[in-house]
Amino acid sequence: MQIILTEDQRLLAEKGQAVEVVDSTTNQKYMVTIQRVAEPKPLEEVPEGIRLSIEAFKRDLPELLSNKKTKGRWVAYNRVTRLGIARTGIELEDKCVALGLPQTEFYVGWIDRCELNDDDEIEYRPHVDGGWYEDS
Amino acid sequence: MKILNRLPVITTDTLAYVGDEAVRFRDAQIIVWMSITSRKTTELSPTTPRFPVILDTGHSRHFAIQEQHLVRWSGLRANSLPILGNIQNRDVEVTVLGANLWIYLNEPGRSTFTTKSFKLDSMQGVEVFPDRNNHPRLPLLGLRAILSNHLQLTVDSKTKTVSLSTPDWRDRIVRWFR
Repeated sequence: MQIILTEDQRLLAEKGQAVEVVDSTTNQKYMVTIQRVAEPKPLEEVPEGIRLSIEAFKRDLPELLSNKKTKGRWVAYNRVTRLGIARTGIELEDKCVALGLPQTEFYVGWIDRCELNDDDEIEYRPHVDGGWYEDS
Repeated sequence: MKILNRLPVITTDTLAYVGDEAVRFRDAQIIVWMSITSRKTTELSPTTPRFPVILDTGHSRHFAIQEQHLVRWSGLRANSLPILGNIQNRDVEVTVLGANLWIYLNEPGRSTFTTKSFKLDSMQGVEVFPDRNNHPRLPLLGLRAILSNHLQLTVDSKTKTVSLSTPDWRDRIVRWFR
């Protein structure tokens, strides 16, 4: 079905109003509105300080996980430098802030197996009609 | 420390307001109220905006929010927070931003939330979804936030309440014996 709008109909649609059109084959009437599809934004770059800190964390993670004393704790990195290990990430974050590090210069990671997943998946729950699950 | 103390689960569709914006809570949802701040914030101001969040143990990450909710409800701009990473999933690009999360304590047994809050370890960031899919409808607090903060979550189906707490000395002893 090809939709051809008159100039008046196009103006109404531009204003966000529904416009009535008729399918010439079936004589079925339709109400048409404009749906603007947002262009996906390009992925933004992770700041170098954070990227290097995460790389250092991932590099050390297997060793940290194999140690009972560090498993389940938190660890902070400033680029390639390990700043410390603590029971909570908040302690380490406060330490980074106290050191005067900008937010883009450190990463605090949880020493847990879930951090090994590079291929992170977010569970989507599509609705049966193919739309998005509304509840959550 | 009891963060959620016998918080009633939503048992009927309910309308609530975030500012002047109406949001719907649905039956069998656990609604908590939270704030997001930049990572520099070490103490929460009483004037920090708060907004409703679904405590969703089916969400496998920490915290998910639409960009429009982040902007409108937390008062933060996405570009004011550092990017920790990107997750490409199907056709959706999710940006992970560094931020602090605060969860408000409820009045025991009631859905009323106090001004007291608990700062969550949220170092792995919050996932900010583009607005175009309108997902998640409300922000989600996921299971990883509960696990990484070593919290205890209890659902009492008889009273239809939820409790969330940091482990006390008894819990620590029990854990030690396990």
